[in-house]
Amino acid sequence: MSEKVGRGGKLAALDRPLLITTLLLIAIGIALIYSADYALEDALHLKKQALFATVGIILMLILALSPLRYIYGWTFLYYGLILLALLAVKLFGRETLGAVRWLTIFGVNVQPSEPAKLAVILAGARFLGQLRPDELGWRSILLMVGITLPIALLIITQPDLGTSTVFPVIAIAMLAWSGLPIWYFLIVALPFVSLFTAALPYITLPLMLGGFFLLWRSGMRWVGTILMILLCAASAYFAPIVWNNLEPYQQDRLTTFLDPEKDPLGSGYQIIQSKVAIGSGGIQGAGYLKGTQTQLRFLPQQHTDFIFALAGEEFGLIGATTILILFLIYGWRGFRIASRAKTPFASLLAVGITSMITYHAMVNIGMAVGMLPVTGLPLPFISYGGSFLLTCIVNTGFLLSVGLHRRE
Amino acid sequence: MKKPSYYWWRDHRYGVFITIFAVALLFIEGRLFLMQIIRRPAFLKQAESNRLRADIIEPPRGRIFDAEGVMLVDNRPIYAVYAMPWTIKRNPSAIELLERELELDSGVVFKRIGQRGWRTFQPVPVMRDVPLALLARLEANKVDLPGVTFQREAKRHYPLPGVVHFAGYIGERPPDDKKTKGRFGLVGRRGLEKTYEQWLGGAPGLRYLEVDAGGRILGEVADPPLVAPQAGWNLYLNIRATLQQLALKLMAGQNGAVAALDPRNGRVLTLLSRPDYDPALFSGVLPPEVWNALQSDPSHPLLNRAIQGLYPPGSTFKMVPLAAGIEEEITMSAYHTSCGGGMQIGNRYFRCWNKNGHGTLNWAGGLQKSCDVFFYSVGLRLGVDRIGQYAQIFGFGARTGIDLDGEIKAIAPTAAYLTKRYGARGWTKALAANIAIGQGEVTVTPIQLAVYVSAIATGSLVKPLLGKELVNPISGERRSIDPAVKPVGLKPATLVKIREAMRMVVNEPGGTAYRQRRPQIVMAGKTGTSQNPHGKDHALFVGFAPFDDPIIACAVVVEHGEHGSSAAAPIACALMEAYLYELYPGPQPLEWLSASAFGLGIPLANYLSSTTPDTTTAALQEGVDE
Repeated sequence: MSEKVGRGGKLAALDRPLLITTLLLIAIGIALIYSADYALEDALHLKKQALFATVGIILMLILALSPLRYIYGWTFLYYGLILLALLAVKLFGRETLGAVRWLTIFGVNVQPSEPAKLAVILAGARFLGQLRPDELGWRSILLMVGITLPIALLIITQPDLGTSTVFPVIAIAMLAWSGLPIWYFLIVALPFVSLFTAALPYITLPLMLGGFFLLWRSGMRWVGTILMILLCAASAYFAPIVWNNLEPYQQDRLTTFLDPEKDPLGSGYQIIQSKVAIGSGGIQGAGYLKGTQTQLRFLPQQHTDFIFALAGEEFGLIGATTILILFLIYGWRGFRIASRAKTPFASLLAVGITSMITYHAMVNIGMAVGMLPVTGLPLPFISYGGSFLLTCIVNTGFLLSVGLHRRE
Repeated sequence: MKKPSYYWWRDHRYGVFITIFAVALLFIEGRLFLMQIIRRPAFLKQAESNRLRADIIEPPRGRIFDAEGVMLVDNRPIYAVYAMPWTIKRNPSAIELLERELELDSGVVFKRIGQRGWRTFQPVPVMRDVPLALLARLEANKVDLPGVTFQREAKRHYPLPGVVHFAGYIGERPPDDKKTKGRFGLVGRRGLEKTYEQWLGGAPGLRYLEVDAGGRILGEVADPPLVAPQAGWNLYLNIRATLQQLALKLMAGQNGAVAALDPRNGRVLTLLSRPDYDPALFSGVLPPEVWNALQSDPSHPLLNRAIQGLYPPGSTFKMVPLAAGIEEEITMSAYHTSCGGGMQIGNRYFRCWNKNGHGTLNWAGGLQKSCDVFFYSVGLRLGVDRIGQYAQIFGFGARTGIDLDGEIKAIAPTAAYLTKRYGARGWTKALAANIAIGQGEVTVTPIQLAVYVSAIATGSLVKPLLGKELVNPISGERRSIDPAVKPVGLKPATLVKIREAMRMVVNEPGGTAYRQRRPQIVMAGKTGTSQNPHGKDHALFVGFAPFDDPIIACAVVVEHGEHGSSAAAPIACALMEAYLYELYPGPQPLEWLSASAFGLGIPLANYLSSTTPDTTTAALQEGVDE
């Protein structure tokens, strides 16, 4: 393919802000991982990340230049393979830190839950793309649930609560993008809100009353609204029971987010240390390789989940803001590509990918600054981890391809 | 309404999606602004406290010497095991191993840390004075003991016996102790260690170490700078180690107390309380069973009898009614009583200790022979209140103000006291007779007796002081501890009479301590026997020497010694004699020394190594017992 005439023209026609942003994020990630490695006096992570980044960027460019029709036919096969891989994880997976997430293929450790995100996006885009706007409704919601649920369930039970939250987000984003009326979201969202009735009644009850009113106004009238109220009551009733069946460490993560000081030696330690690292960075940061919290390893998981705190400490507000701006550019270009795509499949593919990446960025950074619970979602392009880095870069390849081939 | 809602959506979806994302990022940016700019100082402080560990440098504790520079309390290096709270909490296996190796009950490490507070990054002591073999074993297992550190510390060492009661001991600082605020580790808890804590303790230094998350020390940092520790001042005492050792030897096998002062200024030459305990017990972490054993020991080794032991003074008290009688012009030279072995007061017959009676006596003979009948009659004439008043003039019923903690006031009874205790009708005037011979309600401590006899000897009421001088071991700066002396509120003539009677006690035939007379020196004194409902009587003696120009005053209490003349007087007189011999070692004819009770004819050092004299079997030949 690279022999073909006009590839130079095609390369030049790629969405340049997106491409540059992606490469910058990857470069920043490698620089930060070097700093984390420096603290460990071992460059192992750096080498692996650089290798995956190189392979990923080549793959990304190939995918970006390939027309979308090549992959259109492969979506369900890919979905099926991912499902099989996740089942294989269940059966032969490698256990680390109390969870089974890894599969060893030809000596390489793979985390199938990462490429699974793309599988859901592709399958969802293909299904939803076949529907006309006026065909959207319960059927399309059920369809998305059908695509998402098997994978999400397999991942929840690994257990990996954080990663599994990505799938409903992708599904909702794609459904919303395709034009599903707002009250469908209310119907889905209200029972979720009511889950927290027992814990936060003063916040959830007004929200739900407003929601019920909107439902009633938007054409559901009495029967639907009352059914909805019953459903919400049921979810409010059962939520505490489900809570009691969560793994203790999952409960810990959710409760220590509310009050990290409660257990400064246990799971609150990560949030406290992350905030200390970021806060101590100031405007300019401590300087590259000079952050005391990073270099003396007070910051936990500095290669992976809390790499943003490393950036915050060593590069300060300037560095942290730079990363935020790069993700904003990514989101802007991604949703722009989605809105300009000419086929529903391409548009949904682009919005799924962009939502996935931006959701990761929001949740990971929100966690590092102590606004959200510790979910264990990595930071796209930056956190160490081959499977996730490749997934992000490959997804960006598809995004670039959508942007390039938007007339197809 | 007619237009389906998805059209609105599809027209605006790009804007809605990017807006949601942008708003979320804006919130995060706001949070970053808050954390990295507004709240940065707090986070920076927390980051520094993560990174830096303030390492306390304990100053060397001041040592304690006697008046001549003989070391009484020294420091010896020991090793202590410390635990880092945060690190060890994350390693339950390390706690288990540590508790097993140190033979501690499980949970003790957490308890010790809990007492100091979990929030601290300071290492907490788990065990002090760890044997070297155990230390070597722990060191070998260091890999399995993250968060466990070893520190060199000092423990108190006592080269000479018999000093523990006044020296006291050091121990963990009580968390709420205000006097030692800002101090860490061990502080003075008892005795001189406590009284002079602020001098002996010095000031701890601080060194900031950089540590990593595993508690590994990476090195010292230059900022914040090191705070150098200030060594504790050395304390020089008025105590004479040789005299103290002699007293210890003389008191061997007996319980009681010895207090010897310089009567001119109150400098404490000897202060002994028997029995005592091994001060080394208090230098480590004291096991509760050892503490309980000391507490419940029937001989009360923890009691410093010299300042806390309460005894009826017996006949040693008789100088008080005598002084009162002379001052109040009752016992003029013409005042005589006739002793026939007892006296009828009201419906009770009060016996004299001498069943055969003393015959007719005036004040001089009354004190010399310690005639109870004479003092019964004086006591009745004086009444309880006047006896109590004069007792207080001599310092009874009040603390002497010695530089030790825990001194007991004792009781010099007055009418008000008796009424309060027994009710207005609960006591009779006959009680004055009993108090006049030092029995019944009146109690004293040995140090009070020493102050009392000093006051008689010199006319000055002194405040006993153990401490003489504080010396900074680095700069050599000196601070002397000044004596506090005030005249006793009695006419000089009164004191002259009392002294003369006390001289007669030792030096004239018929005196109760006549057997203790020395050919070369004139000593004065008074024997006493205090009735003890719990067993044999206690033996007491107070005295001073030399008679003309007293430089030592001494009080001795021998519990269950039965007779002051046979049990207490020999000890006191030997002590005073030895002190005088020490001070005037010139070409003295040695006969008086060899004629003395213990054959003291050789330098004190040799004397100390001689065998223990047997005071109890000495037959009474010349002196008359009371």
